[in-house]
Amino acid sequence: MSDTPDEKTPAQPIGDDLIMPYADGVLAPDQRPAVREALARDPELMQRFEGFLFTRGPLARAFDAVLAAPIPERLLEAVRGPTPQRTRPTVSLLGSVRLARLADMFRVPDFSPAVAVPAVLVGLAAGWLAHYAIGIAVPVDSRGVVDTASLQQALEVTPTGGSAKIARGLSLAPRFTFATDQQVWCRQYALIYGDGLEAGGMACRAPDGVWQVLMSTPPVPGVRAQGPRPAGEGPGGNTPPNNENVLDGVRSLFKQGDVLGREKEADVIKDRWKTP
Amino acid sequence: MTDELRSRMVELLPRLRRFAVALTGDLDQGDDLVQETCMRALSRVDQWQPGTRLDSWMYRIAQNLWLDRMRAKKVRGVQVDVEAAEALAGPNGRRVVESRLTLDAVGAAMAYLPEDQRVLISLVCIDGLSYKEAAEVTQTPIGTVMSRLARARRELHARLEGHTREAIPRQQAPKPGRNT
Repeated sequence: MSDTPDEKTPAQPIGDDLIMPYADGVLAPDQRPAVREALARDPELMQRFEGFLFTRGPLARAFDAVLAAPIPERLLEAVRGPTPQRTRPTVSLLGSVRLARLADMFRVPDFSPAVAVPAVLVGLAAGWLAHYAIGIAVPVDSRGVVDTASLQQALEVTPTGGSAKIARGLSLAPRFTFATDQQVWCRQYALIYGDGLEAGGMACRAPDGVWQVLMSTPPVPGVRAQGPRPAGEGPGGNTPPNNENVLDGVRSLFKQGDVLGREKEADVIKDRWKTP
Repeated sequence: MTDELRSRMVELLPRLRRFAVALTGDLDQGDDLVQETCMRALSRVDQWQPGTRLDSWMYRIAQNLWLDRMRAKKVRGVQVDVEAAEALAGPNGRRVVESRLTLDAVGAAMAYLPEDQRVLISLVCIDGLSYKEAAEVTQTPIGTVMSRLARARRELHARLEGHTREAIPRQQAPKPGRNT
């Protein structure tokens, strides 16, 4: 048997099946020298090798931002299920100027958005501002916590005049839809309990699509629960706070233009709340 | 379903999300896929065998869901995001070099790969799975995984380096086929 180079066992062809594992650092040590030699003498193979290197590190790094990004709440919910209480989103809907305006509003004794601001709203709004400022979650409903996903869905798709069940024995009925002068969509709504009580609330839609509850009023007997009233008497009578009026007054401060009519509102819902 | 398993799924979410974004080429669609994957996994958790890798199982679910979607898209005639692909070459056909390799550029280039190759790129090049692990996820022989992967990487390199920039069609994206 001759030992001249020409008569040696032909060298193993160097292809992608060797170059790629070599680039990935997983080629068996005894195969590496042959690949190294082949790369050194063949520019085309070297180019392939560089391509394999390129599609490892740099390609993966393009996705680093995705890996590091906070996980959206909806994905966490998909795994954990809805949690009973969660942290308020950090996006500021109204901005510091509007928050200051709202805060000032409640500090001025004789300020009256409509007729007079009932004390209950002062307390609620002040509480909301305090909660907002220190980042503590505020329950949507003072009687208990409402499933956030249901509330979000109800505000997102339910037209004014309709209602959506958001928890056992509790429905949400949008009353008005309007835009603020800061191009934010807001909705005023009623929370209707199975036992005849009714609460109210106002929520605005943040740029990330999350509805943030700005304020809520406590449950009081609803219109149906109070029975017939004498003509000219408001739905709340003289003792319970008149939630609708309270919210109407606040709405009038934030609203720009008219509240949406049914058709326009339907378009906005269909367009998934494009910027006003 | 134990809390521990749910916790492990939560820990897996960042990687699963990256995998899904790599497949779909879009953050929102990726999140939709992750959400669907989690719901599917939770509804079929009895099919997961404790002691086996949870990530491989969930990747397989995500992959299958995405492949189903892509098949449905093909029926509707949607192929790839041509606009994004055109953006890849830039206004002057400039090279997309490593330092500027963006998610959009990678997504646009990957959109031209056949689905099975895109899965392998996502698993091996982006998530760092071994060839064997990728073969388990895709339930494909390892030799097939390696040949598909090598082909995909060469194609991606060529597109992202601009060597075959002219091959990127301006009017119509290619119809990816399935390779063996």
